[in-house]
Amino acid sequence: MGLNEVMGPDNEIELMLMFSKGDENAFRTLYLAYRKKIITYCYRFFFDQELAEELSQEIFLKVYKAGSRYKPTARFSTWIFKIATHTCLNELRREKYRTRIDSIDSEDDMAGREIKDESDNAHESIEAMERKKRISQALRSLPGNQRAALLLREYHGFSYKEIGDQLNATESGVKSLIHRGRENLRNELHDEFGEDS
Amino acid sequence: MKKTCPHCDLLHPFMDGELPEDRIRFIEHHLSICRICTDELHSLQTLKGLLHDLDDVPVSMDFDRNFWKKVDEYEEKRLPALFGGWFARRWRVGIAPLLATFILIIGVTMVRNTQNIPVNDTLLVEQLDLYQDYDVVNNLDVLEQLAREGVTGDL
Repeated sequence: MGLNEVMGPDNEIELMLMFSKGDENAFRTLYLAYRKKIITYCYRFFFDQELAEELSQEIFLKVYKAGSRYKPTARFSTWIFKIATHTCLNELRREKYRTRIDSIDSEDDMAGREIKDESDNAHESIEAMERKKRISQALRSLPGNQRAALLLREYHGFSYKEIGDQLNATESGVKSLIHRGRENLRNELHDEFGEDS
Repeated sequence: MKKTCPHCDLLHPFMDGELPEDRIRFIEHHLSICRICTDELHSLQTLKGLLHDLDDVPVSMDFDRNFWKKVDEYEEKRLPALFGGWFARRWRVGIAPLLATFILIIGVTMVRNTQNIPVNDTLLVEQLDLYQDYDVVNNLDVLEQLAREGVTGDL
C-alpha cells in the first residue's frame, strides 16, 4: 500500500496509545510521518497551498486533542484520513471557500503552485504544465464526496471498505462514487484521451 | 454513440484490486474477447496515469513552527481549565485533606507547647506541693515539743 513505509499499522496504533498516556514524542513521530501526506491530500482537495497547510494544522490539532480519548478501532491511517476528509468536506461547505474560490479563479492561481514548482524544471514542457492545470481543474470540479473517494483511492491506496468508513458510506456507495468520479474526470479531460474515448 | 458492455462496471473494482478471485479470472478472460472492455480499461489506466502526473506539494518552512505554536496555545488554555474544572467538581474532596492538615498542625503545636513548659513553672509546681505542708514545716518546733511531752493524736 505504500502508506506505512517506515512504520507498520500496529506501530502507529502503539504510538497513538503511548501518546494517549502522555508521551508527546510518540505524537511527534506520527506527525512527522503523516505531515506531508496530509498536506498533499488537502492540497489535492483545494489546490491552494495556504489553505491546505491551514487545514492540515487543524487536522493534526484535532488528532492531538483526541489523543487522550483515542480507541484503536481502525488503522491509524484510516482514522487520521477520516478526520482529514471531514475537515476538507466541511471547509468545502463553508462560505469562506466560496469567496476564496472566486479570488483563486480570478488570479488564475489554481494549480499555479504546481506550475510554479514545475517551472523550476527546465525540461518540463509547457504542454505538460498545461495538462497538470487541466487535471487540477477537473479534480476541483468534482463534488466533494467523489473527490474525496478518488483521492483516497488513487493517491493513498485505501480500500473501498476503508473509504466507506471515512465517508460514512457503504462499500457499494464508494464504488459508485469512484465510478462516477472517474466518469466525470474523463468527461472533463476528454482531450487527453484521444478520439476513441 | 459510445458502445458499452454490461461488464464494463466491473473494470473499476478490477483495476482497484477489489474483486474476488473468481471475478478477476472472469474479467481477465472477458478482456481477451471484448474490445469495448479492453478500450475502457485502457482509458481508465490512462486516467490513472494522468492523476499520478501531479506532484506532491512542498511543506512550507514555517509549517512546523505554526503548528507547534497552535499546540502550545491549546495547552495554555487547557491547563487552567483542567484545574478549574477539577476544583469545581471535586471541591469537597479537595477541601478534606486541607482541613485534616490544618487540624493536625494545631494538634502537634498544642502537644509541643505542653512539653515545653518553662523550668520556672515546673519549680513553682513543685513548690506548691511543699506549700501544702507549710503549716507542718512552719510549726515543726511545736510539734516536736508536743511529741516529747507525749501528746499524740492527729495534728
